[in-house]
Amino acid sequence: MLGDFKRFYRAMRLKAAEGNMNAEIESIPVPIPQSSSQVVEELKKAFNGSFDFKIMTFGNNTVIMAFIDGIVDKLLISKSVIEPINAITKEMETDESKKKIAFVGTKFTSMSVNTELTDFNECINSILSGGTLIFVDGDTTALYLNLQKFEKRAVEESDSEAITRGSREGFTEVLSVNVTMIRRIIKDSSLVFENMTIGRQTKTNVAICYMKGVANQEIVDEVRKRLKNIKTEAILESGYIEELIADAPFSPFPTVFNSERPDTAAGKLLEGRVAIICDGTPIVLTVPNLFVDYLQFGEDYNNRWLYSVIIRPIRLIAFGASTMAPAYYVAIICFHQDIVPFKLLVTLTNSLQGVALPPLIEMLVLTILFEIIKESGLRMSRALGQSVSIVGGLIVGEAAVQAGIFSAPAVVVIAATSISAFIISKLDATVLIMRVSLMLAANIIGILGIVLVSIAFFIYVCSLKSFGVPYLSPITPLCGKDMKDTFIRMPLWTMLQKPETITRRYAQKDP
Amino acid sequence: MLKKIACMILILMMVPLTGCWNNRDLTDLGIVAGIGIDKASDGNIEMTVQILSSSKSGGSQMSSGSAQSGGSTVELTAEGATDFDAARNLIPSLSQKAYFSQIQIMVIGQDAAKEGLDGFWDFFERDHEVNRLYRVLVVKNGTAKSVLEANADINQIGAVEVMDSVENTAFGKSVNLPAFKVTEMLSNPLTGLVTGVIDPNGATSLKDMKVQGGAVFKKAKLVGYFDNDQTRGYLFAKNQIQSTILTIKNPKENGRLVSLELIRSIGNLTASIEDGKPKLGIEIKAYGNIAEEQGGLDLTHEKDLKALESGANTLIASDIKDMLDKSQNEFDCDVLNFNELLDKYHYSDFEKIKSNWDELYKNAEVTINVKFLIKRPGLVTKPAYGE
Repeated sequence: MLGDFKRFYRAMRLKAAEGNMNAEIESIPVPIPQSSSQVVEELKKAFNGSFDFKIMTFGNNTVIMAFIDGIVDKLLISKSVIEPINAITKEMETDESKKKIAFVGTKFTSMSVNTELTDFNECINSILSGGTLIFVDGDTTALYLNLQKFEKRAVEESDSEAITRGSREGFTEVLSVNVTMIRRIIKDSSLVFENMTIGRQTKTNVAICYMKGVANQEIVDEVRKRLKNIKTEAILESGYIEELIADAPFSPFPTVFNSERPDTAAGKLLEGRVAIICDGTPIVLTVPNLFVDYLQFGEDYNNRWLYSVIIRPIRLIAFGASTMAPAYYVAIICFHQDIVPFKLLVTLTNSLQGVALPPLIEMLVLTILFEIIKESGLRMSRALGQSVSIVGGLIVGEAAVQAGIFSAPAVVVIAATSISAFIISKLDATVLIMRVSLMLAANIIGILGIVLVSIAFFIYVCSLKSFGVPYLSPITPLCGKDMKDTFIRMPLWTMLQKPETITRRYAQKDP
Repeated sequence: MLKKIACMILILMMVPLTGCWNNRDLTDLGIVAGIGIDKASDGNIEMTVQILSSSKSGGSQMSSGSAQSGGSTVELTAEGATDFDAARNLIPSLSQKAYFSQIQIMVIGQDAAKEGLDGFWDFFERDHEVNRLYRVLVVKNGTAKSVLEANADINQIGAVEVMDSVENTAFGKSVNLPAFKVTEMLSNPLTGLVTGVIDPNGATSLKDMKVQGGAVFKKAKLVGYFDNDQTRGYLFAKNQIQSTILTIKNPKENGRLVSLELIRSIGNLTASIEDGKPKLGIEIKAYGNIAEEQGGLDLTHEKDLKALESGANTLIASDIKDMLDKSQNEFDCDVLNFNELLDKYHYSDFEKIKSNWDELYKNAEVTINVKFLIKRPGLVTKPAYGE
């Protein structure tokens, strides 16, 4: 059955790849026209007369400068480009031997990046990414100056991963800033950044980042290979990449980790993971991703270790509660009334009296209601926040219980469940799927159903791999040394060696 | 491919379409808190069940502020030739299904107990739904119905109130016997069974009914009762006593008393066979504190402490002796289960005399050896008004 899905999925992927092949002809180099007026024409054609595309001509079309307004440093251009070119245009017009791009180039040796391009398509691409291009009449090479400058957000504290102790810095939308942030944390020459461009239309810059000598080279190669294989038009966010390179695309469990914090990313890199930084988003991906990643937080290591020893099991309990609490509630109310202590049972019976909905429906409706409240809290404008909490908290919480539509214990269970799910918020979709399937199983055969479905989930998770690393390691396959940082965090002085889970080689069985 | 998916869906549909076996909503159950067995006039069994009836209607309880943890109860009675028959005869008068997994107590009317447990005990052993931890009590000079229908004052649920007082071990003069132990003891015909007793004393309210003493069964039939002190002796010997107050005479001043609080007791039974006669022994090692003293005894003197200890020894020994005398002479019943000890450690000798055990037990000599030790004299050495 699953095999069928896999085959179907592969066939779809192949088809998609073939479709993309046809569109991939663009990479054949096109020479730059000799005559500058022709260059102007071609450029204008390429940009379809967009008003932010600017061409400046000097002399009698002797020198042409092209750039896109808004992503270049205008002040710098007028001072360090226009002025020198103005000065040499006359000279070039009189002296034919100086009518060469090489001569113009000598005036800009002090510029940070200046390269000569011969491919016209490449010229267009570099203009698009903020370059300033200089063409000289009669020369088929162009000079590329990097005078990129655009508005960007300052480095701010990450909203989604706030902590109380540790660096307040979060990644920004600009790739180069993100790279420097990591570089500033890990001052080691073995830290490697590799650049590549993904997306035919967005041409998004993506950087692969890893510690050479620490990261498993096979994983690095695999990441590079998968990124190169991406054939898509647009990468708007790292989530696109995540979906396109993930090991198990149908899995409810994410196999690519993401973080908005440079210190978290640096920590993962130091453990031998590979980071994928995508321009335009503060979310950085790290692979391989294991289940324990979701239990570990950067703050665990900043706080005293005893605190982390206590908080890790609590997170695990929260994960268990957020997946299983409604299922156990259903099972207890419908099947296992005998395992509840008598006095608790009396309370339960009293508060359940008069509630018409069966517990499963109650749980399902409340779960959906809660997801709606959560979603509306995310989507609406901030100013409306209060009304959501009033409607959600008061109307659903209290009025519904008072009216006897929902029972109070059911609301308590769902509230506890939802609160627990916030602790591991990166897994919330996973948790929701598990919660609902466990609930349904509990309604059919009680706790036996919960056990069966849990076993099924466990077997499935055991079969998952992220870039060749088993998803549940170091728990299974067991790596005793790395257990020091799994269910508890041992003191730092006991964990001086790097964890082996990521870096060791696993037998490759999968095709 | 599509066929396989269709097959899969069909197979998966089997699970929900079979229905949810035994899926019963909590609100559809009549939770039985206490069960009473009486003898009906025509030899039938009369079963009384105490069922929780929730105090709330239509979920309006939240508005009143606090959720009550208690609840009121309804008592129903039905007759039947057997237990199961009686339980089914409850249905016409009950809108819910009687649910036996949370029984707290079983009270047995005196007449039914005299008739014998064997008449009805099997149902509660055989049925899968019944739990095995409810406490068993005999109603002294009364019917189970009168106890279950009595007004509960503290807990609102009578069965829970009785259960709580049975479980309260600080009194040390009542037997706390869970149902599975009853079965265990019934399985040995030579052993007497001692259950708890509730004494209604003609009252209609639970606060006037006393849970104290023990009811002695021989071969599953009620033969008599232990009074409070005898029950304490029984508990000492069976090593089941948790705490009690031993009140003894002040050794130095006449008419004054000293109370000792038992904190720990280890009871040990020994049995051997000599010349075809059983030699039985009871050893008690107990520890206690001085809880209260009348008079001016100075407790820093070891001599006085020793005197107190020997007083306690005598008291415990006399409790045990009373109990033994009653069991040997009146009930002819080995309540302390000596026969099992012999069966375990002197099997071949015991086999020879087993058939005659009741007679032998009646005449057996039991040595009682009590050693009481005072651990702490309390916060003062002697009372403020002492000399």
